[in-house]
Amino acid sequence: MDALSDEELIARYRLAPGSDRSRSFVEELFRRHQTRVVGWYYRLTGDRALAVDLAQDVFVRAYASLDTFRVDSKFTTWLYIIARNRWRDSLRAQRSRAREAPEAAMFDAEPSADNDALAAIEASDARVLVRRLMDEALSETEKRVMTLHYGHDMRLDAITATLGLTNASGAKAYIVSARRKLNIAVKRWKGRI
Amino acid sequence: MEGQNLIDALRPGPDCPSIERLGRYADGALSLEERRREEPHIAACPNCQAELALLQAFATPSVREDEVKAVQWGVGQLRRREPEIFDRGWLASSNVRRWLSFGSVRPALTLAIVLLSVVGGYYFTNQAAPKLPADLGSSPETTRSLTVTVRAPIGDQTTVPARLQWQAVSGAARYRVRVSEVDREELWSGDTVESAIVLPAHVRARIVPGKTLVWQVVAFGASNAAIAESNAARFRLVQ
Repeated sequence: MDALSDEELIARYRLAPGSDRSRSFVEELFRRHQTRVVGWYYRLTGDRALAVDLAQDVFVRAYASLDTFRVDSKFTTWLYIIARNRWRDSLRAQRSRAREAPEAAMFDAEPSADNDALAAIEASDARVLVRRLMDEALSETEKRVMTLHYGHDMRLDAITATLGLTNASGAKAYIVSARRKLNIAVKRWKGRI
Repeated sequence: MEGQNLIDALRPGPDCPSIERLGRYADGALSLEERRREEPHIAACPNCQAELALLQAFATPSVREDEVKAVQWGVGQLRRREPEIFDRGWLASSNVRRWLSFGSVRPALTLAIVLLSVVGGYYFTNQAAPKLPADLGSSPETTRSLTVTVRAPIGDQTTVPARLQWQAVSGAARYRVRVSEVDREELWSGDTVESAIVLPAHVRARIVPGKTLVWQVVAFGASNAAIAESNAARFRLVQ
């Protein structure tokens, strides 16, 4: 069975989805990816028990919807989409819990945004403007770190590990630097209008 | 809210492709035209680039030294939960959902549960020994069940079986026997009016040590309608 690709295992499973033999193909398939899923979640959450719970949900969903897998995609990508969606659900739940808690707790120990020039921009213009200023002022790594942290709610150490950053302070240094550059860019932009 | 403008700007926008579509983009599964349409946005969008970085990290995992213990523990836990994963996955599968949501099935299930409760309740309150029919053992060897009971071969065999045998079903005019590989690929099928059938030489030649084969019997009535079938029986030759 080792010689079969992920996609071949699924093809064998589909020949007789209810049989014991076909289940052994799925067991093999899932076991190949357990470390990947648990490791990914552990890195994102820093909580090994939560990582296992999330991983379990991913494999339940994967087994339930295996018949929707399209053969022109990679199984790893398909599994990633399930894992990513499950994580997004988990973040939504966390956010709704956080709304009931003091807001400061969400950004505890994060770089301060007090007097942030960005806060003064009209919300309707913000999206286009922030992206333009990011393109002008930030490096690709700074943009990616900012997006993962603020747009995807990722912890800084998780970003450091995910992007393989090797500098001493990891993602935090990129966040500090990016915010400083963005504040300067915003002030410059305000001076122009 | 502090920094909310920044946060909103960095979240996925209406022009960002879905994660599913981004995955197909990463796999090279989009058509050339679709790829041309998506590429300029994906290349310039920090959100899409961040998504691709996450996918990349998932696709090429590397467990750091400080993560090894936790991940190994997690995988061990997950292995222990495999039966639950398959049970819950099966229950959540679209086929089962479709079946359970089929209008006429729900009342049938409810009725079945009520009947089980009544019958179960009766047996709980009437635990006297069941009465056996007086002529037990003298009746002809047939069943009236919807199931054909297979007799042999089942399980490990020390010699290549010459024939397949099952218990006759009352009202059966003929039987169809099907022999297949474990992946359900048919090797051979044959019809008979007896409750046994001889395996042809070319099928017997396929029975080799260690290889499991599956066989099943369907009984047909005089009107040529199927009236009973067996479970899939398995056997294999051991050395």
